[in-house]
Amino acid sequence: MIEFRDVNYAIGDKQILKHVSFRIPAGEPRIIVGHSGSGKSTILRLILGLACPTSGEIIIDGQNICGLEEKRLREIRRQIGMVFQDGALFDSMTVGENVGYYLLEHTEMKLDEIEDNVRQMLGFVGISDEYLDRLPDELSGGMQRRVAIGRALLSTNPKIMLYDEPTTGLDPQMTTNIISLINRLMEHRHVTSIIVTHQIADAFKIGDRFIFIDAGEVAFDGDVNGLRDSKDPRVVEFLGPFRKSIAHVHKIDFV
Amino acid sequence: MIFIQIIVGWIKRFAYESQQLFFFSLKMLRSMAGRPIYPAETFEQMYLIGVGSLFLIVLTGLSAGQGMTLQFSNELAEFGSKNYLGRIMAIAILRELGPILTGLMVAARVAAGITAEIGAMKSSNQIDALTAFGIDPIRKLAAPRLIGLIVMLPVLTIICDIIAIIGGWIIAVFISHITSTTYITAVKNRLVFGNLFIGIVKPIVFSFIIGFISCYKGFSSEGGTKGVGRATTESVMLSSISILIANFIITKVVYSFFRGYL
Ligand SMILES: Nc1ncnc2c1ncn2[C@@H]1O[C@H](COP(=O)(O)OP(=O)(O)O)[C@@H](O)[C@H]1O
Ligand SMILES: [Mg+2]
Repeated sequence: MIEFRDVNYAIGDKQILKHVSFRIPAGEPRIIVGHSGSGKSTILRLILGLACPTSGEIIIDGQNICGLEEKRLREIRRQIGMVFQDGALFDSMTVGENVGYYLLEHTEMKLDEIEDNVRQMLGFVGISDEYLDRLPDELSGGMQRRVAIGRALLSTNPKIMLYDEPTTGLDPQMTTNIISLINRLMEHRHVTSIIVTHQIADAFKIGDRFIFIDAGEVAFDGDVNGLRDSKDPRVVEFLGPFRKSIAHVHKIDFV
Repeated sequence: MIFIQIIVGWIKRFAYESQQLFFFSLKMLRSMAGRPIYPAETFEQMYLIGVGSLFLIVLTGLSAGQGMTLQFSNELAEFGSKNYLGRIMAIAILRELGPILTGLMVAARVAAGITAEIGAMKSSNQIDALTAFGIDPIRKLAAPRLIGLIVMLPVLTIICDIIAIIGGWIIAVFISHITSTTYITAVKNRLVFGNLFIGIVKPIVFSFIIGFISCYKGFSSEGGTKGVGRATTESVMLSSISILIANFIITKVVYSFFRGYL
């Protein structure tokens, strides 16, 4: 379970998150939507302990992670798989090295054993073996995103998966691909998944529980019906013309 | 009034950055001590820094040595003391020119490279990705570069010294008509402990300066590609200036305390 309790976060004089509170039960997916610059990525950074809130508590599996020492944080991070915006693949390493990186650093596994795992994982995310020795730069944006998902998954069977803008900048075909991969993961592995996106159209294809962040505040927390019926002007403005068609949107099933 | 405000702002920023740089340097030093170590990265950096800068350093040393000999040999000839040429060369190169030129060249080439590389990794979230994978990015990225510098800068300086002295020899023998033995004897005369000591302490200090500043600037860079560019320029400027200041201080200190050995 992940819980934010009245979290405030500021950089210098700039208040980035204001009184953010929400709770995500274990095994459930949650979609965080909001305009660019509203603080979505910041929330993920805080969950990973990459930054520390100015005040408030962030509880992961019953433990407040704020102010924990680096060693304890590292243990918590081991349960979390993070897919960064644009993938954040290590650009000096090959695709294979990226995906196998965690095993290489943190386990005693032999090289060929790691390679077997990497091949299997690449197969799972739909990247063919021929890309194993390529550099990330040589891959398309969508493929980089898949490799990044594979890299996150091949850490330690994460209990929590965080996706930062997994579909932004991809063409519709690739978007569908990535979304079905995310959905497949949620159904198969029962991980708590947080998907961040500013693309409302994609959001509805992934799940039906939303947290809407507006200028660093939680403006809405609830299901798809609540979102549609909300009279909050910020929600209405964000959904725009999409609001009317919400009822007709269906989740993309895994293919 | 506005003037004073600007200056106060400057001083504040300088104090803040110095403090941040200091803490970051401590972290780097601590990360060098602990485990895991990254031998592959460290050797790669030694290679990149050492072999990559070799050509530049040889060229610099050669031209500095030759230029100096040309200038000094005429001047010394007027006093009939051409025999001293080797001594002057040895002192000037070992104590000052070798370390300074090598330090500045490496600051320009390597500091820029380190800051740009780490800055690019920062702006594309790769540093955060390392942390998320349970890896200490300072240990993984900064420590190997610092070790590479500490090992290679003295080596490069020694190479620069040797090449400069050889460059001087070429001019001395073929243009200024000083006999080879005279030149070499005079050089040897000044290869004393004190000169060699200064000549090696300086590059070691400079390597820490370049390593600390370039890594700090990379890790603290912000604002995308533009920010990385700015950080890179600042990194080269700051390390060059710091090298010049440190050089003066070392010379001064050594002069006050080790006079007898020079
Ligand atoms: N290092 C930083 N320094 C100053 N402001 C920052 C920094 N990082 C993010 N911000 C600001 O915080 C706000 C939220 O950023 P972010 O969480 O990345 O938004 P989102 O992911 O929703 O687009 C933005 O206004 C951004 O400008
Ligand atoms: Mg973002």
